[in-house]
Amino acid sequence: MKFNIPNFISGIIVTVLGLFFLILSFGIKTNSNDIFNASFMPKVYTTLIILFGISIIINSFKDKINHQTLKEYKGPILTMLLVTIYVIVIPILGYYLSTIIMIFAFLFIVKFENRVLLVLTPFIASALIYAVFEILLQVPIPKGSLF
Amino acid sequence: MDVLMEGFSNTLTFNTILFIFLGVISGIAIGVLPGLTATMGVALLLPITFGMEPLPGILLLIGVYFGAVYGGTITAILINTPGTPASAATALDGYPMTQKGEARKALTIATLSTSIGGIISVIVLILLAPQLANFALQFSAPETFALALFGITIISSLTGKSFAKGIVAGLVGLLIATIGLDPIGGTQRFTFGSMNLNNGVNLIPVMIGLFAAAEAFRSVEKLFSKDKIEVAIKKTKLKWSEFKSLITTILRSAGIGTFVGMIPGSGADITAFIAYNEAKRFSKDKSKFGKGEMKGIAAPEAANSSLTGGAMIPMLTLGIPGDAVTAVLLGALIVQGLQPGPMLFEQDGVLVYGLFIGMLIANLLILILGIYGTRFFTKVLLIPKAILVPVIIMLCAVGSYSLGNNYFDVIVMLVFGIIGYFMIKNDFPASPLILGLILGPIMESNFRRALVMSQGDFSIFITRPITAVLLIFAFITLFSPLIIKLIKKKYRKI
Repeated sequence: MKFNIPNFISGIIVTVLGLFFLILSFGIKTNSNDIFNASFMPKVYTTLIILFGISIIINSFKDKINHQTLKEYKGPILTMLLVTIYVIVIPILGYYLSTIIMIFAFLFIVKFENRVLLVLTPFIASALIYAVFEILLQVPIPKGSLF
Repeated sequence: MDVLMEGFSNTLTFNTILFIFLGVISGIAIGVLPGLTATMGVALLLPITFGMEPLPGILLLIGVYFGAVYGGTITAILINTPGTPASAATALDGYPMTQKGEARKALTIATLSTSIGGIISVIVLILLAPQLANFALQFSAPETFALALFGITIISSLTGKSFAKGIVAGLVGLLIATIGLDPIGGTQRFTFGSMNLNNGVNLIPVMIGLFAAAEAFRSVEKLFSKDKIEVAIKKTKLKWSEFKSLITTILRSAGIGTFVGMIPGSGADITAFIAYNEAKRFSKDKSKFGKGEMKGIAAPEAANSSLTGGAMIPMLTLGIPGDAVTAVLLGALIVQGLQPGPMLFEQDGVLVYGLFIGMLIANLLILILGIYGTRFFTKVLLIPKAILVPVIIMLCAVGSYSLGNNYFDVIVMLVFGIIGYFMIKNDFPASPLILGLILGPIMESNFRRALVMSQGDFSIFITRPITAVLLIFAFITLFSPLIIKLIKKKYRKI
């Protein structure tokens, strides 16, 4: 049987998410016996999420087939992994060093050919952030435990 | 009138005009780059305004917004690649004019139409917004609840390709808004024992994640395409007689744009197509359209720029943003300690009128920069896309951190960046989620307050006329996707 797989999967995720939070909303401790207490709105929202999630699943059997390939996800997922590592190391290495490494690593991953820009971009970008955010606007920058 | 004059003198300072100028320039550069949208630009530059005074800060972002809508036009005309969806209709006649060697003329028409359209819509905003705000001052808890419900319904059902997905996005936003302490009794909800979640999920990192990081992840997909872009601008100037023949089209389209912009959820792209089609309908020689007809540029440009002023009306007077960019601007106002809605005009009237004057200045700057700076802006296209992605990411990190000096916000940005990417891939629109997050607390607290007022009697939502009308609108909106689908089908066939 042919159906729209991405829509089917997203419908399942939406329904499970709704179900998960609906169960949690029954555990919200309130002192009020009134039905319109703190758990009322979460219950309404999650119930509707579940209903619409189910409708997305049902419609996935009627929708046109989506021709997404796993290959197009490769670049973005690699980038997400890199950014996740970047976010993890910021509290350790500090913002500037982590940023320089992240930009360099990204350009390396995408096989950026211009070697001058490959070396200069991380430093120029960090210097601009320093000048604009820290000096000019005095906006705080994340500091690391090492730097 | 005094407030208008005071707003006028507050805006006409060197600093404020400089920030509007910087905003417009950055906006045009962002708009020129295909893949970078006006929403992304405003979200990315939002953190810069944290340390600024409200007026120059918000005007910088408004400059980015207006500039980006215009910037998208430059590439639509020169290389047939609309920088933003708002300029898709402009490419239909803009690019054929470039092919005929009339790029300069096409750009001049676009610049003039954009500025005139923008200025008209700001004048309508100045005239209409205070009246609407005055009317909205009568709103009590039931009306505010109904208005919030209407706002979320209309945005969720009108944006995106699928009605169900739009509604789910809005509901998820509303659900996220319930995280933290509940607004009436202070009960903890979905905090999972985290201190960081006690105050709820911060709006700014969510916006930066959904609109900037997610788009950056998506643009990696196209990173390996190496299109050579060559831009040649020939010097064919627009004659005065030619401009005169466009005035009616510009005025009509500006009217369409302003009016449609006031309806929350109406997109700039579809508005531009509506104006284009109307220009074609009124034209004596319809066959010229699509082959380099000047009215085919003037109409969508006047419409998409006048939409910006129109979209500001519900945002400033009712606190309901008209589209994704105004949702981000609403966030910017909240960060500055201002609460968009009818009270904004009462409490910060000078600031509001300062914003209006600033918008007029932004449109005039577009006119000047558009006429003299196009060559410079096309150079932005030479920046390799590969460099933009990590630069956007580093701005996302610093932007989400700098609001509250909280590292947790950087994690929130990353999480929503990843969620946002998969939302884009699966046609879930992001703006209803943001709107749900903004309107969730307003909706819930006013719903519960209304029931306290009526001692639990639901008839309070039917017996009060404004509440009843707004709830009927919300109900009708649920059936509107079908009508919109039919309209889109008709206009896209052009």
